[in-house]
Amino acid sequence: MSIAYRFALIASLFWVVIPASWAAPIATNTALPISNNEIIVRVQLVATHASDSLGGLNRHVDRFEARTVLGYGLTSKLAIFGMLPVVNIERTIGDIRTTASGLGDAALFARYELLRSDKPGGTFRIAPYAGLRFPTGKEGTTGDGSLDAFAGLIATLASTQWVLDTQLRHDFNAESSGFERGDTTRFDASFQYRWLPAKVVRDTRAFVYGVLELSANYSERNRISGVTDPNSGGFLLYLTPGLQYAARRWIVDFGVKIPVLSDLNGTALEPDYSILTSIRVNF
Amino acid sequence: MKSIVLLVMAMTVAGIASADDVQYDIRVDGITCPFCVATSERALMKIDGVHAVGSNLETGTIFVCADSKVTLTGAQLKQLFLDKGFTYRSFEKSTGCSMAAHEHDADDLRDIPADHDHDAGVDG
Repeated sequence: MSIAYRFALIASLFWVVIPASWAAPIATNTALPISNNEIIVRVQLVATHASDSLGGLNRHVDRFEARTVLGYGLTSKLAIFGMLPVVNIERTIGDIRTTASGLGDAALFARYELLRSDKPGGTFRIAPYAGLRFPTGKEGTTGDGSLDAFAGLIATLASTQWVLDTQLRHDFNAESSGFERGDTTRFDASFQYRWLPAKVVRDTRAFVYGVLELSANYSERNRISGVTDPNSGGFLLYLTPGLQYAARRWIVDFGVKIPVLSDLNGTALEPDYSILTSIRVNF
Repeated sequence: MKSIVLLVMAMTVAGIASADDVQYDIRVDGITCPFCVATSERALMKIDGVHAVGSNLETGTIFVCADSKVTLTGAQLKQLFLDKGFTYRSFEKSTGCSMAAHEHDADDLRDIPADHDHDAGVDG
């Protein structure tokens, strides 16, 4: 595959590379613990659509991603996570339609609880994390081809009535075969408010949360053979309203991720929406 | 029919909680949702002689119903909840197992300083 073709493909898809989500919020992370020797498995499905018309040429992209995430508590403070995505992408530019499917880029990271302040029915925690994204996808289609690093800091304030998760994250993207995706920086905030039950009593078995999440993403421009691509990178602000059902052994959630502010560079394709749903189970 | 169901339920409870049982009301901080408390409850259920475990998230109390021969210590509970990622505070032990009858009101618990061991059974 030529560098130019791969560049065009990745540039058009840059916005749909939704950072993986591993924990209690729908599309971001939490600092709430994974117990020592506990395993949490999450399967998340993400369907994304984008379309526009560029100089009379219609562009459509549909991306479907199934992510399997496994978290394990090495200690009560240190947890490791692995994420393996399977991706299907359909792109249409004018009359030309292409499809790519297969493994995406897998990620492995560790999260450490730096600060914990607990009280009855409440907690405040801060947890940094860092990890690597491996080029397990097909270079230029379902993956970048590069070994990338990322790091972030999560703060979570939780009560039995509501939970606020925030995170700041930076992705250090490397070069592979002449292509280097621009580094990204993002800030996420997820507010989960318990709708049901109205009052927590002894042995309340499950909560229903209303969820509202905000995600601010800034991406630097990509580079191809050392040359900066003017039609890549930029700023996107998303809102994700959703619902979550949290029971004793499992959590299901559903959300719709909508861009509310977009300032992308050049002709980069802008998003329409993403639909996210997941189930996670603790063992 | 309804009375039969109630009778069966009462007999079941009686079977689980006999007069020889003891109840531990354990105060644990930091637990905020049913998903969070589940692993702690499972760990307590694995202790030999424990019949039933319940919780009140609002007050941060976990109730354990066990044989009278079961002796839980503060050090043991502190380590158990440390492994689960939560903060053990104290426990109260009482004879019989009524679980809900020993439940504290949320406002009562807020008056207790977090580091105050309010029962002679606390040693952790």
